[in-house]
Amino acid sequence: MKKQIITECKRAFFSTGMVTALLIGIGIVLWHQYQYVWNVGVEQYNIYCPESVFYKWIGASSFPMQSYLFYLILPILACLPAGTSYYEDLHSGYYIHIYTRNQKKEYLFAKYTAAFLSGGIAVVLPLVLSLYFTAMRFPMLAPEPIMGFGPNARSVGAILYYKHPGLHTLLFLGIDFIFAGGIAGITLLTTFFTNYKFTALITPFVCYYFVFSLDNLLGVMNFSPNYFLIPGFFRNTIWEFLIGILILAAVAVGYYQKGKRLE
Amino acid sequence: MYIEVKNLTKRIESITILDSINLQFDQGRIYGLKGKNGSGKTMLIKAICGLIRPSQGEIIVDGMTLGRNQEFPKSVGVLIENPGFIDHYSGYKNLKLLADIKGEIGEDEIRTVMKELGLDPDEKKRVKKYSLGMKQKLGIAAAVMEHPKLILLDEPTNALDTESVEKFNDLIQKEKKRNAVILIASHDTEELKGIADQIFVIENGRIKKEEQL
Repeated sequence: MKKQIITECKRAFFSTGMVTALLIGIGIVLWHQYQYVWNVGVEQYNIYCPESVFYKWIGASSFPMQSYLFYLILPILACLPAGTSYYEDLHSGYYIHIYTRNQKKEYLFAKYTAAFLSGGIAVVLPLVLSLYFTAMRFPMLAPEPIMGFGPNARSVGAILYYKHPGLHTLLFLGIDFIFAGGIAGITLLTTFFTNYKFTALITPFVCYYFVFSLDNLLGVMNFSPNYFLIPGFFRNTIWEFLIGILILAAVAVGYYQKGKRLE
Repeated sequence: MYIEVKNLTKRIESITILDSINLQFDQGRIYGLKGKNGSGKTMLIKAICGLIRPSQGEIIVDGMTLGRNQEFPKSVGVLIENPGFIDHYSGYKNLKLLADIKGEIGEDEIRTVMKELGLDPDEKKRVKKYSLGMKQKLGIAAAVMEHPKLILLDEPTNALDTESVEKFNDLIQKEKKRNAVILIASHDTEELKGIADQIFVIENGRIKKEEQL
């Protein structure tokens, strides 16, 4: 089991998909840094209170174009490293070598683990870099509610955000990791239903964008992961996280069951 | 090792691919499976190695029924059609990864089997850049390197040159002496006659004839 997981993780972490995802993600972060961090004077906006890293980094709010773009293409970044490797193995026949060595269940588990971890890293690493780079320029001061940034009073985690913003940010990086990893798992499940690698790769993004469009149409923005995964989003409830995790867990179970029965 | 295929039938969406097949395989013998394209050779091999489940009947390997007592035979090496590998790794690295799963053989065995088939274990070329023949040899190496008790090879000499076919035949004879059960599927009668002890002819999913050589 351990060997399988290590092998699959190596394949995912040293793939061209991972390099591409990191280049895109870090590219967006650097673009954001250039526009909103490096080229802005510390004193420019401090009308009421001193500026803080928690107003400035890419996860501070969905208003900067780069934040919106990063969280919009999150499923593509998550799926690039390992999402299509199961598709490739099934269509090339590589899986036969593994299955006939009595490793079917271990292989399925290792595939999901690699997709989950690589998807999570591909999304969270650029976010961590953004936080780090921004902290080089702005102090890590607790956000002030008067500034109008961050979650409103009724939003879940609002108290944590204003009292312990570092902890709040860490918690959201963890949540983003779990969602990105789970979204990468959708590609594994899609593999069973498509004859095209591109379809397998793009399906999570299509689902994600569908939810985003539907939420905007109905005016309930907080149910779109494009918004609720942003640490500084202003109106979160606990439900979107629970429903999201339940759906992603169902996808993981569906993939495992379908994979076990596959002939 | 003793393998028995009892009344094996496989249907996919009401189409019968394999129809009431009964066969027995003893250790230390090479069996040929001859048939045209689409006759059911590959499907039979897939059923014997546990990759597909029978719609009816059963496959018993050493007293254990596949799909009931065990999912796959405990010791099996398989080559089916065009063997797939991790494209961006070298041939040796691919075999090493597979060998590490069971941990039964070391680097020396991998190198030996590669050399026996005419592959260079030190070559850094990625599998992506391998010719069809080289990929085929790598597939054969993956199937036999751990010296399994059951070896199933589907069209193993596809894309191999004459010299490589001879090397393959030598390797298979060695495995036979080691008491493995070997089943080779091919559409080429001459190829099978040169190597097999017994040939089964399959047509439209049914065994039509048995030839003892």
